[in-house]
Amino acid sequence: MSRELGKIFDLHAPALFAFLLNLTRDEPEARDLLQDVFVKLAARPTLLDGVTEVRSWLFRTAHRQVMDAGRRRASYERAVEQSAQALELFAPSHDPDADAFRAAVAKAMGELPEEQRPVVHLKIWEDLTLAQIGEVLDIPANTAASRYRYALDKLEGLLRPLHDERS
Amino acid sequence: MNDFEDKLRGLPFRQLPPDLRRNVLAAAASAAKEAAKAELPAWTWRDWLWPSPFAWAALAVLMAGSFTVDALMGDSSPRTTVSQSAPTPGAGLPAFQPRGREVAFLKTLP
Repeated sequence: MSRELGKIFDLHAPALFAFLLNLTRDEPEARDLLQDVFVKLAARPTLLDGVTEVRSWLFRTAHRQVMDAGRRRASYERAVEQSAQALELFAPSHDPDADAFRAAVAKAMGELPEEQRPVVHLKIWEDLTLAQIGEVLDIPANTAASRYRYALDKLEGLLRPLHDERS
Repeated sequence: MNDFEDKLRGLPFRQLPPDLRRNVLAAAASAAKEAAKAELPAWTWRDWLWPSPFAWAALAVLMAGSFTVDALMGDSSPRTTVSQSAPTPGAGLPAFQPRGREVAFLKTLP
């Protein structure tokens, strides 16, 4: 199982870590939650029995871990921590303008409501359909669609100046 | 998908922290080991020997010692039988009487 787990890690952990980092806005917490997902899987390998889409299962499990962790922490405490730190969500580039845009996107993602952030992440960076997003997040596809529309409008509003400059 | 979405999609995420893979897989391996242990049957020899394996070991040594002593006593039991059936002082004399005669005969020799 350890070899299979290593393969699963290599295939999916980078995307999963980015998802967790985007949702929690906190690197140590994202690391812990990623570990929790793999520990859970290692302790009960049968969890993947009958699972056709391992990646979706991992994202669903990771999202649940985030929700559980969020319930354990006070929202005020979380908000203070999140606003206090500049999150390195994207890889650095050699272009200062590109870096500025990436930093602005990371910051803007943090300003989205918590229920919209995973929808945007899964739609933009995981290329899931709204129906698939609904399955992962355990919400109706229509809800996922409306959350995505609102979130994208907000992001465009926040990033329009930088986006227009770079176009 | 519009131009803005395309632009967002083109952003590469940062790489995983270098030690994360090792740490996560080590924790996962440890969890797998724990889970395998938990799946073992609840009954074990250790449980059976509760509360003190040492007490049971001591008892086993005592019993082995007892068997050994018993076996040794079994070897000496015929001697005990002989001693029990030993003749009374008077009854023993006839056995020596032929030898006494031989001694008396030898004494008469020049």
